[in-house]
Amino acid sequence: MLGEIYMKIDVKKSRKCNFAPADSFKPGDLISIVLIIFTAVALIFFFRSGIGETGKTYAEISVWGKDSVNIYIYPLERDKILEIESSGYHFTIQILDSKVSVIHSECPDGICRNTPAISSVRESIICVPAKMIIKIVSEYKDDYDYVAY
Amino acid sequence: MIMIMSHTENKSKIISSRIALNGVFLCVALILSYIESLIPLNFIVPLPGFKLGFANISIMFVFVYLGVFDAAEISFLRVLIISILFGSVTSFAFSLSGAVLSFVSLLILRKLRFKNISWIGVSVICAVSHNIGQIIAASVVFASITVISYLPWLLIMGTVCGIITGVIMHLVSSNKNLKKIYFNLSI
Repeated sequence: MLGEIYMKIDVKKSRKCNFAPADSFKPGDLISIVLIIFTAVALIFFFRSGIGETGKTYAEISVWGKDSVNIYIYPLERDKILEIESSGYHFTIQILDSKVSVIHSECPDGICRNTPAISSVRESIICVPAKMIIKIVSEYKDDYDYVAY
Repeated sequence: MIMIMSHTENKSKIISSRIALNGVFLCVALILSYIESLIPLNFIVPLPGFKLGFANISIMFVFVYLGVFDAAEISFLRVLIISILFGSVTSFAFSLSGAVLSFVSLLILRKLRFKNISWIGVSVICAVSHNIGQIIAASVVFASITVISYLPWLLIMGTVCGIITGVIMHLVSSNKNLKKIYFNLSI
């Protein structure tokens, strides 16, 4: 099958690029690196700045249940230790001094455990294998079907 | 078997040599992916989807020195095989969208004839577009835009890793012995 596909492609045209990247450092490299780093730093400042924070902040934890997404909302001012489950993995989440962190998790990669504690709006902790998202919101919206408060 | 032949000669021989070469480079990409999965970076850099991107070395090499179609094929097969062996459906979606976006950026750079850019810039742009693709896939999978808060960190780490792979590409592409090998192998 692959041979047939190869037959159809013009060998001359597809083979070999006539131009290769240069062998020494060029201004284009510097420009692209500086632009990317600048964008990243600007985005970090934006996410950390807490623009749009109005009064009380909440931790919004969305977990995947058997057939639905559940969203739990907790105020950050009250210290708490939570036990939750998402896609079959158990998590222990700690709210301490208005900061949220995952202190114990069963997920295989352990990225959520190693993420530093989050406290300002738009910051988040994500666990990819368990599909769990913890994010900080400032205004509690009514349209969520929340489970616990 | 070292072949020196023109394009008009036996087409099937060309095709088989091409399939063999693609197999070799696919293996290189797979081994590099495996090696980078052995390095436990999760504990140092807690970023979901963060990888060193060594497999990109093989794909960029094929893209520039062998052919665009071969590079696309190797890239797709690598993503498929790695997610069958070590990953899941989610990781397949993440890697595929990242691979597609970084391939598109390579195509754009090729259209611009790699002017004013060296291997470092090319691999940095590839790495960053891979990260952007991953973020797009993640926001679709999680059905939430929240994932974007990881983008700036991924961009910074992608730049660092892109510089590392770019330096490796410099070493590979300026190696005279390697050059001799692939000029004999490629038709």
